[in-house]
Amino acid sequence: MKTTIFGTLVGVFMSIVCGIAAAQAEIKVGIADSLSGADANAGEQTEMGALKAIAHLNDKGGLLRGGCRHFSGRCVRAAASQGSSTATGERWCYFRCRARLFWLFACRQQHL
Amino acid sequence: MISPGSTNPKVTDEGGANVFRVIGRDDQQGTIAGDYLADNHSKGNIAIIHDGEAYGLGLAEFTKRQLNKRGVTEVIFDSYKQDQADYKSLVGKLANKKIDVLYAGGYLNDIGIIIRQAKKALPNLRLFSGDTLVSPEFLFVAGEAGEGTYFTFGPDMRLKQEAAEVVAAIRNEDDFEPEGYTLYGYGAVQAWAQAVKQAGSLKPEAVINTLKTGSFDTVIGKTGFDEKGDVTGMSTFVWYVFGKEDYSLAK
Repeated sequence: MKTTIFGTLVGVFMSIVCGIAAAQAEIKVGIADSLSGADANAGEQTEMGALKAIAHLNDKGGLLRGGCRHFSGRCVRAAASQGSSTATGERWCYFRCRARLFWLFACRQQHL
Repeated sequence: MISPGSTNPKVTDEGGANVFRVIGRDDQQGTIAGDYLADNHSKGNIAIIHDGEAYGLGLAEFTKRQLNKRGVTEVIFDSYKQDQADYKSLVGKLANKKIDVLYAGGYLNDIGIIIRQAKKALPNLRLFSGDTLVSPEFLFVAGEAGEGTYFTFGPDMRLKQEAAEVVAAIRNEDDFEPEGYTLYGYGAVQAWAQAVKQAGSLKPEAVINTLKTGSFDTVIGKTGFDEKGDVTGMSTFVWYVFGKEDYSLAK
Protein backbone atom coordinates (compact mmCIF):
# COMPACT_ATOMS: atom_id res chain seq x y z
CA MET A 1 0.00 0.00 0.00
CA LYS A 2 2.82 2.34 1.03
CA THR A 3 4.59 1.56 -2.22
CA THR A 4 1.46 2.42 -4.20
CA ILE A 5 1.01 5.77 -2.42
CA PHE A 6 4.70 6.54 -2.81
CA GLY A 7 4.55 5.58 -6.48
CA THR A 8 1.53 7.79 -7.01
CA LEU A 9 3.21 10.77 -5.31
CA VAL A 10 6.35 10.29 -7.36
CA GLY A 11 4.19 10.05 -10.48
CA VAL A 12 2.40 13.29 -9.66
CA PHE A 13 5.68 15.04 -8.89
CA MET A 14 7.34 13.80 -12.06
CA SER A 15 4.34 14.70 -14.19
CA ILE A 16 4.47 18.29 -12.88
CA VAL A 17 8.23 18.51 -13.40
CA CYS A 18 7.95 17.02 -16.86
CA GLY A 19 5.01 19.24 -17.66
CA ILE A 20 7.28 22.21 -17.08
CA ALA A 21 10.01 20.51 -19.11
CA ALA A 22 7.54 19.89 -21.91
CA ALA A 23 6.51 23.54 -21.91
CA GLN A 24 10.15 24.51 -22.17
CA ALA A 25 10.70 22.07 -25.02
CA GLU A 26 7.76 23.38 -27.02
CA ILE A 27 8.26 24.48 -30.60
CA LYS A 28 6.86 27.90 -31.39
CA VAL A 29 5.50 28.56 -34.86
CA GLY A 30 4.73 32.15 -35.80
CA ILE A 31 1.76 32.77 -38.05
CA ALA A 32 1.69 36.16 -39.73
CA ASP A 33 -1.28 37.16 -41.85
CA SER A 34 -3.61 40.06 -42.46
CA LEU A 35 -6.74 39.93 -40.34
CA SER A 36 -7.98 43.38 -41.23
CA GLY A 37 -7.94 45.56 -44.30
CA ALA A 38 -8.16 44.61 -47.93
CA ASP A 39 -6.68 41.13 -47.57
CA ALA A 40 -8.43 40.11 -44.32
CA ASN A 41 -10.38 37.38 -46.04
CA ALA A 42 -7.25 35.59 -47.23
CA GLY A 43 -5.63 36.08 -43.81
CA GLU A 44 -8.52 34.40 -42.03
CA GLN A 45 -8.36 31.41 -44.37
CA THR A 46 -4.58 31.07 -44.04
CA GLU A 47 -4.68 31.24 -40.27
CA MET A 48 -7.45 28.67 -40.02
CA GLY A 49 -5.46 26.22 -42.15
CA ALA A 50 -2.21 26.72 -40.25
CA LEU A 51 -3.85 26.43 -36.81
CA LYS A 52 -5.65 23.26 -37.82
CA ALA A 53 -2.42 21.71 -39.10
CA ILE A 54 -0.71 22.51 -35.79
CA ALA A 55 -3.64 21.05 -33.85
CA HIS A 56 -3.37 17.84 -35.87
CA LEU A 57 0.39 17.73 -35.26
CA ASN A 58 -0.22 17.97 -31.52
CA ASP A 59 -2.98 15.35 -31.70
CA LYS A 60 -0.42 12.98 -33.14
CA GLY A 61 1.98 13.57 -30.25
CA GLY A 62 3.91 16.62 -31.36
CA LEU A 63 7.09 16.87 -33.36
CA LEU A 64 10.54 15.35 -32.82
CA ARG A 65 11.52 13.67 -29.55
CA GLY A 66 12.37 15.70 -26.52
CA GLY A 67 9.03 16.48 -24.92
CA CYS A 68 8.38 15.02 -21.43
CA ARG A 69 11.98 14.01 -20.94
CA HIS A 70 12.19 12.29 -24.31
CA PHE A 71 9.14 10.10 -23.83
CA SER A 72 7.14 11.96 -26.45
CA GLY A 73 7.25 14.52 -29.25
CA ARG A 74 7.54 18.22 -28.49
CA CYS A 75 4.25 20.11 -28.40
CA VAL A 76 3.86 22.81 -31.04
CA ARG A 77 2.62 26.23 -29.98
CA ALA A 78 1.16 28.62 -32.54
CA ALA A 79 2.01 32.25 -32.04
CA ALA A 80 -0.87 33.79 -33.98
CA SER A 81 -3.26 36.64 -33.47
CA GLN A 82 -6.23 34.31 -33.05
CA GLY A 83 -4.28 31.21 -32.14
CA SER A 84 -4.93 29.72 -28.73
CA SER A 85 -3.88 26.62 -26.89
CA THR A 86 -7.37 25.23 -27.26
CA ALA A 87 -7.42 25.82 -31.01
CA THR A 88 -4.10 24.14 -31.60
CA GLY A 89 -4.50 21.27 -29.13
CA GLU A 90 -1.41 22.40 -27.26
CA ARG A 91 -2.94 21.99 -23.77
CA TRP A 92 -4.14 18.55 -24.71
CA CYS A 93 -0.62 17.72 -25.93
CA TYR A 94 0.87 18.75 -22.55
CA PHE A 95 -1.87 16.93 -20.64
CA ARG A 96 -1.24 13.71 -22.54
CA CYS A 97 2.46 14.15 -21.97
CA ARG A 98 1.98 14.48 -18.20
CA ALA A 99 -0.55 11.65 -18.09
CA ARG A 100 1.87 9.38 -19.90
CA LEU A 101 4.60 10.21 -17.39
CA PHE A 102 2.27 9.72 -14.43
CA TRP A 103 1.28 6.30 -15.72
CA LEU A 104 4.87 5.26 -16.39
CA PHE A 105 6.12 6.20 -12.93
CA ALA A 106 3.09 4.91 -11.04
CA CYS A 107 3.36 1.53 -12.77
CA ARG A 108 7.07 1.39 -12.21
CA GLN A 109 6.73 2.02 -8.46
CA GLN A 110 3.96 -0.55 -8.11
CA HIS A 111 6.19 -3.21 -9.62
CA LEU A 112 9.26 -2.44 -7.52
CA MET B 1 9.12 31.10 -43.70
CA ILE B 2 6.72 29.19 -45.90
CA SER B 3 4.02 31.40 -47.34
CA PRO B 4 0.67 30.01 -48.47
CA GLY B 5 -0.46 33.26 -50.08
CA SER B 6 2.43 35.51 -51.12
CA THR B 7 2.38 35.63 -54.91
CA ASN B 8 4.74 38.54 -55.58
CA PRO B 9 7.83 37.20 -57.42
CA LYS B 10 10.14 39.25 -55.20
CA VAL B 11 9.19 37.13 -52.18
CA THR B 12 11.38 34.25 -53.33
CA ASP B 13 13.53 36.11 -55.88
CA GLU B 14 14.87 38.41 -53.18
CA GLY B 15 13.67 36.79 -49.98
CA GLY B 16 16.74 34.75 -49.10
CA ALA B 17 17.49 31.08 -48.55
CA ASN B 18 14.91 30.59 -45.81
CA VAL B 19 11.88 31.79 -47.80
CA PHE B 20 9.47 29.35 -49.46
CA ARG B 21 5.92 29.44 -50.81
CA VAL B 22 3.27 26.86 -51.62
CA ILE B 23 1.39 29.04 -54.10
CA GLY B 24 2.26 30.30 -57.59
CA ARG B 25 3.83 33.62 -58.54
CA ASP B 26 2.25 36.73 -60.07
CA ASP B 27 4.44 36.51 -63.15
CA GLN B 28 2.86 33.09 -63.81
CA GLN B 29 -0.59 34.47 -62.97
CA GLY B 30 -0.11 37.48 -65.24
CA THR B 31 1.14 35.31 -68.08
CA ILE B 32 -1.93 33.09 -67.86
CA ALA B 33 -4.20 36.16 -67.79
CA GLY B 34 -2.38 37.89 -70.66
CA ASP B 35 -2.56 34.76 -72.79
CA TYR B 36 -6.25 34.28 -72.05
CA LEU B 37 -7.10 37.85 -72.99
CA ALA B 38 -4.99 37.62 -76.17
CA ASP B 39 -6.58 34.30 -77.14
CA ASN B 40 -10.17 35.29 -76.46
CA HIS B 41 -10.55 39.07 -76.47
CA SER B 42 -7.93 40.45 -78.84
CA LYS B 43 -10.57 42.28 -80.85
CA GLY B 44 -12.25 43.91 -77.85
CA ASN B 45 -11.30 47.10 -76.06
CA ILE B 46 -9.23 45.97 -73.10
CA ALA B 47 -8.53 48.05 -70.00
CA ILE B 48 -6.03 47.04 -67.32
CA ILE B 49 -6.35 48.77 -63.96
CA HIS B 50 -4.58 48.43 -60.62
CA ASP B 51 -4.56 49.92 -57.14
CA GLY B 52 -0.93 51.02 -57.26
CA GLU B 53 0.05 48.58 -54.49
CA ALA B 54 2.80 45.96 -54.81
CA TYR B 55 0.33 43.15 -55.49
CA GLY B 56 -2.16 44.94 -57.74
CA LEU B 57 0.36 46.90 -59.77
CA GLY B 58 2.63 43.88 -60.17
CA LEU B 59 -0.16 41.65 -61.39
CA ALA B 60 -1.44 44.31 -63.80
CA GLU B 61 2.06 44.82 -65.21
CA PHE B 62 2.68 41.10 -65.72
CA THR B 63 -0.68 40.77 -67.48
CA LYS B 64 0.03 43.80 -69.70
CA ARG B 65 3.51 42.49 -70.51
CA GLN B 66 2.16 39.16 -71.73
CA LEU B 67 -0.76 40.76 -73.59
CA ASN B 68 1.61 43.12 -75.42
CA LYS B 69 4.02 40.28 -76.11
CA ARG B 70 1.15 38.55 -77.89
CA GLY B 71 0.66 41.60 -80.09
CA VAL B 72 -2.41 43.00 -78.34
CA THR B 73 -2.41 46.49 -76.84
CA GLU B 74 -4.76 47.61 -74.10
CA VAL B 75 -6.77 50.80 -74.55
CA ILE B 76 -6.36 51.89 -70.93
CA PHE B 77 -3.68 51.13 -68.33
CA ASP B 78 -4.59 53.12 -65.26
CA SER B 79 -4.64 53.13 -61.48
CA TYR B 80 -7.37 53.69 -58.92
CA LYS B 81 -7.31 54.62 -55.24
CA GLN B 82 -8.03 51.94 -52.68
CA ASP B 83 -10.98 52.10 -50.26
CA GLN B 84 -13.16 54.53 -52.22
CA ALA B 85 -16.95 54.38 -52.19
CA ASP B 86 -17.20 56.11 -55.54
CA TYR B 87 -15.23 55.25 -58.68
CA LYS B 88 -17.17 57.62 -60.96
CA SER B 89 -14.06 59.07 -62.56
CA LEU B 90 -12.62 55.64 -63.44
CA VAL B 91 -15.99 54.41 -64.70
CA GLY B 92 -16.25 57.54 -66.86
CA LYS B 93 -12.91 56.72 -68.51
CA LEU B 94 -13.97 53.11 -69.14
CA ALA B 95 -17.27 54.25 -70.65
CA ASN B 96 -15.62 56.87 -72.89
CA LYS B 97 -13.33 54.25 -74.38
CA LYS B 98 -16.19 51.74 -74.70
CA ILE B 99 -14.26 49.09 -72.78
CA ASP B 100 -15.41 45.48 -73.29
CA VAL B 101 -12.91 43.70 -71.09
CA LEU B 102 -11.51 44.87 -67.76
CA TYR B 103 -8.54 43.27 -66.03
CA ALA B 104 -8.15 44.46 -62.44
CA GLY B 105 -5.13 43.97 -60.20
CA GLY B 106 -6.11 44.70 -56.63
CA TYR B 107 -8.28 43.53 -53.77
CA LEU B 108 -11.78 42.13 -53.53
CA ASN B 109 -13.64 45.09 -52.01
CA ASP B 110 -12.40 47.74 -54.44
CA ILE B 111 -12.85 45.51 -57.47
CA GLY B 112 -16.36 44.58 -56.30
CA ILE B 113 -17.36 48.23 -56.02
CA ILE B 114 -15.75 49.13 -59.35
CA ILE B 115 -17.57 46.41 -61.30
CA ARG B 116 -20.88 47.23 -59.59
CA GLN B 117 -20.60 50.84 -60.69
CA ALA B 118 -19.01 50.14 -64.08
CA LYS B 119 -21.70 47.70 -65.19
CA LYS B 120 -24.31 50.45 -64.91
CA ALA B 121 -22.52 52.31 -67.70
CA LEU B 122 -21.21 49.24 -69.52
CA PRO B 123 -23.67 46.35 -69.00
CA ASN B 124 -21.68 43.93 -71.17
CA LEU B 125 -18.36 44.61 -69.52
CA ARG B 126 -16.45 41.43 -68.65
CA LEU B 127 -14.20 41.42 -65.59
CA PHE B 128 -11.03 39.37 -65.06
CA SER B 129 -8.83 39.43 -62.00
CA GLY B 130 -6.38 37.56 -59.78
CA ASP B 131 -6.29 35.33 -56.71
CA THR B 132 -7.60 37.82 -54.13
CA LEU B 133 -11.12 37.34 -55.44
CA VAL B 134 -11.22 33.78 -54.14
CA SER B 135 -14.24 34.16 -51.86
CA PRO B 136 -18.00 34.31 -52.35
CA GLU B 137 -17.75 37.55 -50.38
CA PHE B 138 -16.96 39.17 -53.72
CA LEU B 139 -20.62 38.69 -54.65
CA PHE B 140 -21.76 40.49 -51.48
CA VAL B 141 -19.80 43.52 -52.63
CA ALA B 142 -20.36 43.33 -56.38
CA GLY B 143 -23.93 42.03 -56.31
CA GLU B 144 -25.31 40.73 -59.59
CA ALA B 145 -22.61 42.65 -61.45
CA GLY B 146 -20.09 40.15 -60.09
CA GLU B 147 -21.66 37.17 -61.85
CA GLY B 148 -19.57 36.00 -64.77
CA THR B 149 -16.34 37.45 -63.33
CA TYR B 150 -13.29 35.31 -64.03
CA PHE B 151 -10.28 35.09 -61.75
CA THR B 152 -7.17 32.97 -61.40
CA PHE B 153 -6.25 31.00 -58.29
CA GLY B 154 -4.40 27.80 -57.45
CA PRO B 155 -6.18 24.47 -57.90
CA ASP B 156 -9.11 23.94 -55.50
CA MET B 157 -7.47 21.64 -52.97
CA ARG B 158 -10.81 20.73 -51.41
CA LEU B 159 -11.30 18.41 -54.36
CA LYS B 160 -8.15 16.42 -53.66
CA GLN B 161 -8.46 12.95 -52.15
CA GLU B 162 -5.52 13.68 -49.81
CA ALA B 163 -7.42 16.62 -48.33
CA ALA B 164 -10.76 14.88 -47.70
CA GLU B 165 -10.18 14.15 -44.00
CA VAL B 166 -8.88 17.65 -43.22
CA VAL B 167 -11.69 19.30 -45.19
CA ALA B 168 -14.26 17.30 -43.18
CA ALA B 169 -12.53 18.16 -39.88
CA ILE B 170 -12.47 21.89 -40.59
CA ARG B 171 -16.08 21.90 -41.77
CA ASN B 172 -17.38 19.84 -38.83
CA GLU B 173 -15.20 21.00 -35.95
CA ASP B 174 -14.71 24.65 -36.87
CA ASP B 175 -17.83 25.37 -38.90
CA PHE B 176 -15.56 26.93 -41.51
CA GLU B 177 -15.48 26.35 -45.25
CA PRO B 178 -11.85 25.52 -46.10
CA GLU B 179 -11.84 27.44 -49.36
CA GLY B 180 -9.19 29.66 -50.88
CA TYR B 181 -5.94 29.76 -48.97
CA THR B 182 -7.08 27.53 -46.06
CA LEU B 183 -5.59 24.26 -47.30
CA TYR B 184 -2.53 26.06 -48.62
CA GLY B 185 -1.98 27.26 -45.01
CA TYR B 186 -2.44 23.70 -43.77
CA GLY B 187 -0.06 22.37 -46.44
CA ALA B 188 2.62 24.93 -45.57
CA VAL B 189 2.70 23.72 -41.95
CA GLN B 190 2.71 20.09 -43.09
CA ALA B 191 5.67 20.67 -45.43
CA TRP B 192 7.62 22.36 -42.62
CA ALA B 193 6.77 19.63 -40.08
CA GLN B 194 7.80 16.88 -42.48
CA ALA B 195 11.04 18.71 -43.27
CA VAL B 196 11.79 18.97 -39.54
CA LYS B 197 11.07 15.25 -39.10
CA GLN B 198 13.19 14.29 -42.10
CA ALA B 199 16.03 16.54 -40.95
CA GLY B 200 15.63 15.29 -37.38
CA SER B 201 16.38 18.80 -36.24
CA LEU B 202 15.02 22.31 -35.91
CA LYS B 203 18.30 23.86 -37.04
CA PRO B 204 17.52 26.31 -39.86
CA GLU B 205 20.23 25.03 -42.24
CA ALA B 206 19.08 21.43 -41.87
CA VAL B 207 15.40 22.31 -42.38
CA ILE B 208 16.15 24.59 -45.36
CA ASN B 209 18.25 21.89 -47.06
CA THR B 210 15.54 19.30 -46.52
CA LEU B 211 12.86 21.63 -47.88
CA LYS B 212 14.95 22.25 -51.01
CA THR B 213 15.77 18.62 -51.66
CA GLY B 214 12.88 16.65 -50.21
CA SER B 215 9.34 15.97 -51.25
CA PHE B 216 6.37 16.25 -48.93
CA ASP B 217 2.98 14.56 -48.79
CA THR B 218 0.52 17.28 -47.97
CA VAL B 219 -3.14 18.11 -48.42
CA ILE B 220 -2.14 20.12 -51.49
CA GLY B 221 -0.47 17.05 -53.00
CA LYS B 222 3.09 15.80 -53.19
CA THR B 223 5.08 19.00 -53.26
CA GLY B 224 8.65 20.18 -53.16
CA PHE B 225 10.54 23.44 -53.63
CA ASP B 226 13.05 24.63 -56.20
CA GLU B 227 16.32 26.38 -55.41
CA LYS B 228 14.57 29.76 -55.04
CA GLY B 229 11.90 28.37 -52.73
CA ASP B 230 9.02 28.30 -55.21
CA VAL B 231 6.68 25.34 -55.00
CA THR B 232 7.06 22.46 -57.44
CA GLY B 233 4.84 19.50 -58.22
CA MET B 234 1.54 21.30 -58.66
CA SER B 235 -0.22 23.50 -61.21
CA THR B 236 0.08 27.10 -60.20
CA PHE B 237 -3.09 28.85 -61.42
CA VAL B 238 -6.39 27.91 -63.02
CA TRP B 239 -9.45 29.95 -63.98
CA TYR B 240 -12.60 30.22 -61.87
CA VAL B 241 -15.86 31.96 -62.65
CA PHE B 242 -18.48 33.47 -60.34
CA GLY B 243 -22.05 32.23 -60.60
CA LYS B 244 -25.02 33.53 -58.63
CA GLU B 245 -23.86 32.39 -55.18
CA ASP B 246 -20.31 31.12 -55.42
CA TYR B 247 -17.40 30.54 -57.75
CA SER B 248 -16.53 27.34 -59.57
CA LEU B 249 -13.86 26.04 -61.89
CA ALA B 250 -14.24 27.66 -65.31
CA LYS B 251 -14.80 25.29 -68.22
